[in-house]
Amino acid sequence: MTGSKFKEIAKNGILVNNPTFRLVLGTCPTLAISSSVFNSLGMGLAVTFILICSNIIISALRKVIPNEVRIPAFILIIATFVTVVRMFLYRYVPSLYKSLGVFLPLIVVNCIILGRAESFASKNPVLDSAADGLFTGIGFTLAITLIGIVREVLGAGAFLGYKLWDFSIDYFGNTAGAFLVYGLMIAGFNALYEKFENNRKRRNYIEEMRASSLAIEAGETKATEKVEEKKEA
Amino acid sequence: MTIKQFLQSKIFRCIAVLLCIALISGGLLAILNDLWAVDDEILIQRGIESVCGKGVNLKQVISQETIEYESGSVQQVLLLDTNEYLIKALGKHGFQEGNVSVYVLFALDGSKYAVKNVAVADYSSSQTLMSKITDTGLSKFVGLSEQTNINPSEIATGASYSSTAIKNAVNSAIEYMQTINMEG
Amino acid sequence: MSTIFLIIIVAAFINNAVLVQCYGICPFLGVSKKMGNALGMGLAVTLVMAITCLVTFPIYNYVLIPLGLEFLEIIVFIFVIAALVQMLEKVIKKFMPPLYNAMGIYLPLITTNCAVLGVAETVMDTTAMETIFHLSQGQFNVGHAVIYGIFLGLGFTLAICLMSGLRDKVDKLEMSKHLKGFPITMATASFMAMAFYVFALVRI
Repeated sequence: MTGSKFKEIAKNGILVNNPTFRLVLGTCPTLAISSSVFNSLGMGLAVTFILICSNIIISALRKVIPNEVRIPAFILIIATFVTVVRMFLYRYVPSLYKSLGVFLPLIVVNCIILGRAESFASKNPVLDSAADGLFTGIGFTLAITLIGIVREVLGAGAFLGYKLWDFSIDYFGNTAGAFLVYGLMIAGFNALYEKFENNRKRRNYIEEMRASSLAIEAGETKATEKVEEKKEA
Repeated sequence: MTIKQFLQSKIFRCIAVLLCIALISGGLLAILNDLWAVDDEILIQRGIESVCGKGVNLKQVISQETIEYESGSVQQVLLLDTNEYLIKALGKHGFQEGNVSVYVLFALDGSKYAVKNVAVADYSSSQTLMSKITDTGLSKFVGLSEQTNINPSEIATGASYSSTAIKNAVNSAIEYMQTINMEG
Repeated sequence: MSTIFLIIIVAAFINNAVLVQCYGICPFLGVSKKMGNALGMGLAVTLVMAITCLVTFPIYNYVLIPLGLEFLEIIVFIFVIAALVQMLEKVIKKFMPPLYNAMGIYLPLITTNCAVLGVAETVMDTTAMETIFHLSQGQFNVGHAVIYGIFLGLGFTLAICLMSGLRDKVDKLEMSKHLKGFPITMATASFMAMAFYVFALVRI
């Protein structure tokens, strides 16, 4: 895998195709779990782990699995990893297991993971797929943690469980607040993305103009040189 | 269709691949399930660690039976190697009639006893505001030896039902201590 | 009788699938542009939920638990749901063409709908269900599970239909282009969720 491809996968996963803010996939856990930073981080890391593992396995088996049964096979692989994560959390991080609750098994039907398996891992080599899983997972983790920070600071007046002040607005701790925060963040992200995109276009345009003017200048100098050559001749 | 044709057909390949994946993942999960099994001993040790921190061990299990009281029940009574009682008690009447169970640690001094620490053990899924219950709120119970009628809002603002359930659980644990104290 | 009434109220309003528990947000945002589509989707989800409860509850409690295979629960459930949806599609296509025209196209989408797997995971936990509905141990049975599934589905239908009615008006408003689409739909859903939050304060 070359460096430029790696960079492109990273940019796609975290910014251009950010699963939470740009594609609006996997909304259910994002809304339900993001009431605290700890839960958001836990959910994000669990999804990232499952994404990397399932992408690697699916990409390694992509020539073995017949096209007709690929979706059941993908679901089977994903469900296995979800169960592994669930057992691990029950044994070693019981508090996270408790607070993720029913949304832990529901990772199976998270559209992000099946989507990446279908659109990337089943067509690309193992290393690329692992990188794609990692960066899509990071994009999801960053997004859900951002929502978690806003909701925990406003809804509980705390950060990572440490009390900051006594002031809190219950609205942000509930589902209702989750919808609003998520919606506004999508709008903000879209606006930012568009601004960057416009800047990039403008920069490209200026560069193009400069290049073309340079070309014209070069052409002119060539032409004048030719004229001078002719004169000399 | 002969057997040979069937073995070469696409249907057979599909079934074989799916079955292989299913068997491998089933086997993997079965092994991990044994490896990461959580038994009573781990649960008890986890409870002790949540209240006392590390380094304290179980000395004796005094009772594993559920003893019902008016607004809660005592589920487990343990004696620790620091000669302190650890009681797991369940409190009723939480949010949407859900339950909250807590570990209550009692320090003993002759015939006197007092609550030394309280930690939440478990809660039913309807208790959506449990993140509001903090150690500062739970420390309001420390030092008690009589049943309390503390205002739930002193434990946590905004989660009054869950706090009520915690109060009921602590009261049940204290009631248990009172009865065994009277008996001897 | 009072238990059944309690289950209906809890499933449809207090634990409303979309607005309280955040199940099935994808169809809620994606298929709520027109009232007809919303109704079709809602009823399809209700049907699948009812059948899922009917099948997964016995599988978990009478097959997986006695065999000590609880850890295979996620795999078994998702496969049962996928198979059920496939069969349901075939049956409806063959015997009830008008119904198929109304909601057939939504059926394949339901396999990966978290609401269905979510309800299967909720009802199988009998101890939690018995605490909520004031039942003593062992009283929560398949019938209760199916009623819970049906009314959770109807609660979903109610939410998605209300949403499509609201979107009719909201989408016509003038607003910044960044707010259009998902953001404004989510803000609307936020207000609906606030209304449903009132149900959660009811003492049952």
